[in-house]
Amino acid sequence: MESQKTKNRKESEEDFDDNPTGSMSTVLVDKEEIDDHFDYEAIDGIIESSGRILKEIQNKYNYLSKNDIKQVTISLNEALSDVFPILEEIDERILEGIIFAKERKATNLIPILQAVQEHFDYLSKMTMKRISEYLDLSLNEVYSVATFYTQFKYEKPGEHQITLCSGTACFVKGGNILLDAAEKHLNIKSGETTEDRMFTLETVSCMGCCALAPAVMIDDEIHGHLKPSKLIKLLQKTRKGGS
Amino acid sequence: MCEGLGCGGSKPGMNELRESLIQAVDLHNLSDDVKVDFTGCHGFCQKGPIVVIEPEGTFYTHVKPKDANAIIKQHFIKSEPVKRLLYKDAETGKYIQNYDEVPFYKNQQRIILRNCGHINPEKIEDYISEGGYKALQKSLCDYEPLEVIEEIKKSGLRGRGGAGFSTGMKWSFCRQSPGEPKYIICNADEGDPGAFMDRSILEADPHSVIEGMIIAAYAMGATKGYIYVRAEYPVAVRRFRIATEDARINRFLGENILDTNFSFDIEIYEGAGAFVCGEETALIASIMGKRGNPVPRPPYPTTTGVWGKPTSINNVKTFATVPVIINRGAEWYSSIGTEDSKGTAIFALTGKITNSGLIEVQFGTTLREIIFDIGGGVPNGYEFKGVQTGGPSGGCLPASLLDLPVDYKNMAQSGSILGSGGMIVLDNNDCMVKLANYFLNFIQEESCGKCVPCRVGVKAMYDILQRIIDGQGEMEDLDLLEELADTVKLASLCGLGQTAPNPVLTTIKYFRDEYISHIVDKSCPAKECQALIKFAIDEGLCTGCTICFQSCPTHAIIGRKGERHTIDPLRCTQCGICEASCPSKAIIKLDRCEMEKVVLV
Amino acid sequence: MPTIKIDGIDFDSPPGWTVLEVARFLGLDIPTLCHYDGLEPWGACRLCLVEVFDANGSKLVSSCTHPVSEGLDIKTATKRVIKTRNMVLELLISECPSSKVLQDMASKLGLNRVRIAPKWKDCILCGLCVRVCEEQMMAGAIQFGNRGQHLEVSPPFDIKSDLCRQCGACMQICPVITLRCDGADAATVLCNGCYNETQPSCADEFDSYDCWMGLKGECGTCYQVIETKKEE
Ligand SMILES: Cc1cc2nc3c(=O)[nH]c(=O)nc-3n(C[C@H](O)[C@H](O)[C@H](O)COP(=O)(O)O)c2cc1C
Ligand code: SF4
Ligand code: SF4
Ligand code: SF4
Ligand code: FES
Ligand code: FES
Repeated sequence: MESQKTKNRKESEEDFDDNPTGSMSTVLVDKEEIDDHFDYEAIDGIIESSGRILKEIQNKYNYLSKNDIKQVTISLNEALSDVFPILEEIDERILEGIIFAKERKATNLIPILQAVQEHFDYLSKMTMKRISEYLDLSLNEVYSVATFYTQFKYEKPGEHQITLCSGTACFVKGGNILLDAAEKHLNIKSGETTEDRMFTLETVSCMGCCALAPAVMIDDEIHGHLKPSKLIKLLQKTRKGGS
Repeated sequence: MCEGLGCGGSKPGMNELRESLIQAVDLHNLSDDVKVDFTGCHGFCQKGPIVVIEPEGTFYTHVKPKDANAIIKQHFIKSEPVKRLLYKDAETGKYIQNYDEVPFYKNQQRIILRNCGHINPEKIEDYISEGGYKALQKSLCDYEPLEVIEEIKKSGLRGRGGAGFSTGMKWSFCRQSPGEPKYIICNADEGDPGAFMDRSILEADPHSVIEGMIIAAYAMGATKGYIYVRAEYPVAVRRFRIATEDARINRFLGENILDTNFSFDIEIYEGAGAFVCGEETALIASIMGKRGNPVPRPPYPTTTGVWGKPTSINNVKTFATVPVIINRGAEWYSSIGTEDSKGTAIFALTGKITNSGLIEVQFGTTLREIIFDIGGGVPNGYEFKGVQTGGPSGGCLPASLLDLPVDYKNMAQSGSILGSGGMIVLDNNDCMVKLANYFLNFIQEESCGKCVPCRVGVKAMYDILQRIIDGQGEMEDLDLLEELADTVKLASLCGLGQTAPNPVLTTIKYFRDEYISHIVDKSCPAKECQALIKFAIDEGLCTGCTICFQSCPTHAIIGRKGERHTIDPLRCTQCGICEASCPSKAIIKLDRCEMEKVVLV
Repeated sequence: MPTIKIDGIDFDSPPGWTVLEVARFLGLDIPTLCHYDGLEPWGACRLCLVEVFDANGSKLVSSCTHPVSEGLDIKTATKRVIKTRNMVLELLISECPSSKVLQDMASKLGLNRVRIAPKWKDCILCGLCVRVCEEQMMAGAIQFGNRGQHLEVSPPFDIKSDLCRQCGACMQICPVITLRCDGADAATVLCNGCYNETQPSCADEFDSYDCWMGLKGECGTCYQVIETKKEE
């Protein structure tokens, strides 16, 4: 039984991948429906349907993959790109979609926080409050658990994420000098975001590629054996590429 | 025929390499004879990306996408290896073609890493064809649960997570504890900076861990397993998820495994970035959705664990060893290794070493063999100074202990621990005081902050070391430091605090003169401590390339293109950025005596 | 009933007791700070250390959390214990020299020097307030936030929590309270217990008609407060 289900899941996920603007977005990006920008009913319908789709996926496969959520959001944003006033509300609906996808158990707190952060890049007070309501916890407990773990952030990060390794292997190969250089170049301390919101600088203890020490991750891409001058060139390149 | 992509896609250009290999195969119409496939980490990341042609085992290093064509053409059509991509022995200068003859692999004995780099981790068939899940069949059909525990006890397997507690004993405690259901947890929260073996195993051979977990569950009568993986390892999580799904489809997991009445399932739990969650009780709290605060033991997790039920926690490597023991027997396993440590140990060899990567050797191998024979020694002609083992809970061993056979007992006697197996080689450019300071900084950041010795004591030790590094230390500081270290070690609540002073204690023990020269002479022999050195530019070596000029954040470097540059000592903040950037190594560091000489001149 | 040996005295302990309870029962003095009768043991201050001897030697454990078990051999005041305990207290005082509770304890233990630079903090993170709020007041209005060096006790986002009933128990129990409260509109509020015009009556004298919690003394805090006051 179980195995059949997961098999189905895999197959259909593949379909899904092949077909990024597939069936789902045809439901969502129905331009005619939102011809009139301020037809709130239609917009509501669109938002509702995206929430429903998320729920359906969840019901069918027992979990929501990142890809699913991303697809739904992309098509949703497309459909609603012109209508700004209700973006916040969309966020809230998406939030609900993500939260409700997980079982209503206090012990699911950390996975839910992770899923929410995955999508919104940070945890706002509103999201934490919403989560606490859903799980019947006090905001206090949610806050206390979230702040224990370094993964969670409470401010919107910059456009590019610069993660320097401060693990031992990288340290002995000059990782601290690299950090110094990056901090001075961007004029921020580690853990902060530049004023133009381009870069967020962070350190982690070991990314698991110590053989490449010193290692730096710029937006999911790992660069190894770096020298300060090379890192600064990379940063300049990233800044240009982004703007 | 098969190909391995080392380092599991974490490097840029990995996908392009695969694409171009496939294209090259198509181009030469070889798609019937040559299959491009990927495997997990080969362990030799230094030389990556790596391509291995099997079955004969030709070993290509540093392969770039543009080399793909050359490999396919020359290797398969002309039947001769591409020489420039082969592994070159640093000493003899000879090219070595075969995988098994590369000294890095030749001197290893791979038991836990047996499949890493040979199978495709995302295909269960590969694992099964290498004899996978046979041990599971054997234990479910031929053994009673108690016999499995007996077998593991006899093999002498000790936990690979750090403490080295006998795995068989732990399992039997868990089995005997009253309370249903029972749980098992696989600890893959590899927080130890500078160690990456658990990640490699999960990425290269996830099924062996799953199989080990199922056998353990059978032995203890557990019905549910958790695996707690670090959030920083997305590839490992993905591969493990695929592997569990495949195992479910093949009825190795789920209800009535292999048509017996034994049921078991595994849930994946992603950690959220806290080193202390590697500690058993903190890990349990984290799985239950709480703050990862350790709690005092007893009660031990084997009696009161997740949801208050008996729980056994083991490391990834421990689980990965179990199927081999069941398959080949406890006698065979206990014949490897030393009297008190059986089997093999995995080390992540990094730092100032020629061949960094993942190695597996049997217990009893000396440090010299590991570092010089397998690791190829210290590069760039520097002198070997010491080796740091066991991460922030371990210690630094000096060159005089190089002939120490590595096992649990010897390591503990020398003041270090095996820990999870990080091994960081240091040369004479590394300052031991600074290294100890680095570890304390790590601990004080990662401590949960619950108990006083660890939160306040480690911070106080850190402050003292910082004073010494800044050249303001006094001899009394050293005594206070030792006294604090003793207190933190004895009084802390959990293993993190109890082992935190090890780096300090071992460096004081083996490198005391270095501390003294920081305190009395105010000089750093390794020329690393910024407050005690000055930077200068060597006239003869400077080529006037202006790289240092551009990179100096305080604009302390003066000079024009093509001319010799100088450093303005008043502006220089000793950050070392210029030194790390200079391509001709013209920037030199002066310690206190040298400074005085320069001033006199 | 597990038989244990504590400072050479053989004792048949009721199961489920902690070493601290046994010691107190026998009149052996063990200093404690983060322990409070009526709250779950927390084991954070490490002042209540005792030495446990077994076949492999000995180790130090916190007596307030260590359960008794058959054949346990304990000494409460070995040289090692005293040295370590004094050092821990030294660390605590360096954090928070202004606390009367800590200074009293130092004079009792004969500690007369602190070699670590004072930090003048206003909380030693003993967790008493968090536990009393959660376990006895059933409010859970304050919690630990962050970790390691940044550990702190606070309501979420440093904003007054709706859950706080302003009972003042957290202030009552805090060993360093003198520094904590800066008034109702202070920049950093802990619980805003001072919105209370009066001190909780239960803290002074048990009066089931005047229970602040309206629980007729069920929470038990007042008993304990009176108990400790009497002892003093
Ligand atoms: C601070 C701290 C961190 C730890 N980190 C890890 C870890 O990253 N991985 C691990 O397997 N064990 C870790 N351990 C050890 C575990 O607590 C536990 O002893 C181990 O998982 C038991 O497995 P074993 O019997 O297979 O060794 C850590 C312990 C402490 C005190
Ligand atoms: S030793 Fe450190 S990590 Fe462990 S409980 Fe104490 S403060 Fe927390
Ligand atoms: S005053 Fe508020 S925070 Fe303090 S114990 Fe009472 S309810 Fe808790
Ligand atoms: S505020 Fe007082 S009672 Fe609360 S943790 Fe700090 S010192 Fe302890
Ligand atoms: S220490 Fe930097 S990647 Fe491991
Ligand atoms: S009273 Fe036992 S640890 Fe604080």
